[in-house]
Amino acid sequence: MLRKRRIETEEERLWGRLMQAAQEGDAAAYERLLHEILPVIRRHVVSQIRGVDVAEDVVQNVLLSIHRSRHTFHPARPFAVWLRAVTRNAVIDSLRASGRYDRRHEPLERHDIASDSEEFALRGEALSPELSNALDRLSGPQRQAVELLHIRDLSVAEAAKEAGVSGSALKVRAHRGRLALRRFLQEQAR
Amino acid sequence: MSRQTRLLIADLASNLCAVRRLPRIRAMFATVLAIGAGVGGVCIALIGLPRGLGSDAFSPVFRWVALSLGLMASGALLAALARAIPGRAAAKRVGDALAALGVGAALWAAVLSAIEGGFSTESFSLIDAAHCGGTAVLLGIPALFCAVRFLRRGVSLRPLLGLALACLGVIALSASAVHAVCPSRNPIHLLLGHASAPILVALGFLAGLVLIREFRQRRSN
Repeated sequence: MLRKRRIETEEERLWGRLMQAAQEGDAAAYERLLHEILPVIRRHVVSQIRGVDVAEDVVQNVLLSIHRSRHTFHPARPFAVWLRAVTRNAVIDSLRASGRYDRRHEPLERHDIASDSEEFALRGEALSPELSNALDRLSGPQRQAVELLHIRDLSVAEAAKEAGVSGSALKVRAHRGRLALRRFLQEQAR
Repeated sequence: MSRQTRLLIADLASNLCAVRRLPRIRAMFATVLAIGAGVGGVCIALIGLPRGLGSDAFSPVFRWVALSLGLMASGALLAALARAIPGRAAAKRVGDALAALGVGAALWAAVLSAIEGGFSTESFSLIDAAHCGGTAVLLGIPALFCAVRFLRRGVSLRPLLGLALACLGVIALSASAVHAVCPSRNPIHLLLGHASAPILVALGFLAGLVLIREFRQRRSN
């Protein structure tokens, strides 16, 4: 029995064109695309993940997955199908990792550390014992990424060069490191 | 939208660079197939087809093994490449089905041999069977190298499975060239040295990759 082929909407065709432009390096098109597909991603994620805070982390993981796999999209194929598959894979990855992740976490209140990249600046300040302990628990690559970007305050290009990885890979590591740090600090807070 | 997400989007866009698009599945498939078929063709040209191939080609076991290798080669390769591209679930399913049919065809060849009482060990040599299997592996290396390069550029939820399927497909392709030039018509030899070789090699490859991954994870912990 043949499955009925879903008709692509005009909006989805536009997203495909924006992704095509992003593949060629058009940053404005890429930013517009990510903003426009964010509600779609969030709907997919929220339907499968409990907890608003956790869902937001997964949404960010989906955005990173889209960024890492943008070269696999072909303009002749429907964008919505590709997006759904990337989102699904990122959610599955997050669910796999959540076996080590306590979903019943509370918002971070005790520390001044914010988890977004701009505010996460520890430049030269003395690290609290809790933060030092949490940093020690990170994996080697994640700890290196956090130290290079947020403690030594290097630019992405400089940090990537020192770490010997691409800028994208370094940002992914730093993002995951920040998420893990938040989790460790919450565990310590209990 | 949370501030973190907004900042992440701005961050990703600000450092955007152009990317080289991954080729379409049909292009990747054709490339790997061309390399595998080319190497196999050279092998056939150098060694030549055995005498009496015409009549042997109608032997049931020979035909079913040939069919099995063809199905495994096309199906496993398609399944592997489809797994590397998000949103190609239909192609993945077709590839999985073809590969499964290929394995089924090999099993049917074994059943046919048993029914016809063809499991004669008189002219069977394990060393010869291993030689054919090993030759198939060596002939498959160039195509496997190409397939792995494509897969590494893709994004797969189960990368090790994709690599193992690529190994199965490519070795089955080269085993079909070995099947064409091998002079032995012993059913056990055809089943063990030709039809089973891709499956055994792919399983060994997968086991090796899993061990390497476990070793690396333990080292990083």
